[in-house]
Amino acid sequence: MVPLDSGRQVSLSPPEFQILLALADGEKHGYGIMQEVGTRTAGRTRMGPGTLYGAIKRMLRAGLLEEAEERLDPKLDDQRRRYYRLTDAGRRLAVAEAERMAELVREAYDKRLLTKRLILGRVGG
Amino acid sequence: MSAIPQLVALSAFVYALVILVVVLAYVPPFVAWSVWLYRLLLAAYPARFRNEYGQAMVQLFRDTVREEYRRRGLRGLLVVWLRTLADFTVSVIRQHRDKPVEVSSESVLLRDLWQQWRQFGSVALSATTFSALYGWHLLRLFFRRAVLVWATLTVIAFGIWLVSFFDSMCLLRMRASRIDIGGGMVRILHADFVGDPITEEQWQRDVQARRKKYPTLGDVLQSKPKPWEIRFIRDIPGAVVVQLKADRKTPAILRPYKEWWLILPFFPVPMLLLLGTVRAYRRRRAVSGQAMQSA
Repeated sequence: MVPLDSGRQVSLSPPEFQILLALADGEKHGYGIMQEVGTRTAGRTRMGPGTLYGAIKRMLRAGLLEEAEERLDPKLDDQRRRYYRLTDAGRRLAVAEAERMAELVREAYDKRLLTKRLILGRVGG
Repeated sequence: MSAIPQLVALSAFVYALVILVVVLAYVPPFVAWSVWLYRLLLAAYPARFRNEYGQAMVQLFRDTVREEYRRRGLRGLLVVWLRTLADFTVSVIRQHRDKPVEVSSESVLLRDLWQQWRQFGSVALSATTFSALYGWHLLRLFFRRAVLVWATLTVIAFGIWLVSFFDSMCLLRMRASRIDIGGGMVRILHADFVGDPITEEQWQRDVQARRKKYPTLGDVLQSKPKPWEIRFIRDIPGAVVVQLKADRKTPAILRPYKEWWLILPFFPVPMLLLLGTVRAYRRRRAVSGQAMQSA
């Protein structure tokens, strides 16, 4: 549960956080989000259409995402696609969740569960 | 003259066939069939979800299938299908579980009736069995001791009426524009939660007091005790959106605000029974008086 404004607490599932991450650097359509998640996690995380749009539905309702203008993707075909982008609340939540995870990593490092080389290696790519 | 419609139909058929051939020439048939099959599978999702995201899901599936088929051929297609079927199974169950239940006043009434039946069904069954076994004796009792029967029925009817009356005045009090139940979205204009039966005036006073104490709805919902786990609140013009983690097994807790006067039309039932009791009592007294006189 991550607190946002007063009285607002939102919990994120792993696919939802992946979607927030995928949209952090700009608008994307469903297939773009799926590709970004697959590439970033080296294929370890794969979301099917049902999981992806189920998560998008919940996040739209929670005000974390909003729909951008429907338009064509020149790389794919001539069909119009629905694009999604982060709202301010969604971006704040992504930051809060990332900070929470960073804190966990720091704690794991303090308890010698992780080495600096491993952390930097992972971060460095 | 009569050949013209046939010619038009034939032209349309040939035109459609040409388009189909052109499409199939550019799109591998496996992809087209997969998309067709996936489109059929979408029927398993709740209608609202399907209408909202069905087209986008088909688009996403088609892109994935096309890419995998281009890269790895039939093996890639098979892998996509296996992954999609797993995703389909899980997400269909989840969407049906999270499917909001729209509550109209009619469905609330039907649901209440069903719950009443479930609640009193066993009693009704026992009463029927008892009547079947001892019906004749009951009839004799009715004719000989009619006052007792009428009085019992009157007490039961008054009891049911009073329970309904207090039931209408408690539980969740909300003025709702639309209510969705089931751990989903609750769209309300204003809500206030009370545990005990109160009158309209008391409720209004309570709301005013709470508004002074907690200026925003967020503050109200942060107060304790809370009836449910409230996960998210959003103010939009004219409404407040609240996501509740509510127990689906006790939907009676969530209901639109019901006016107490709606119970009034049912008031004549216990009154008529009371009238019957009085009349039966008078008749019995008259009969016993005549018996005394004749004796």
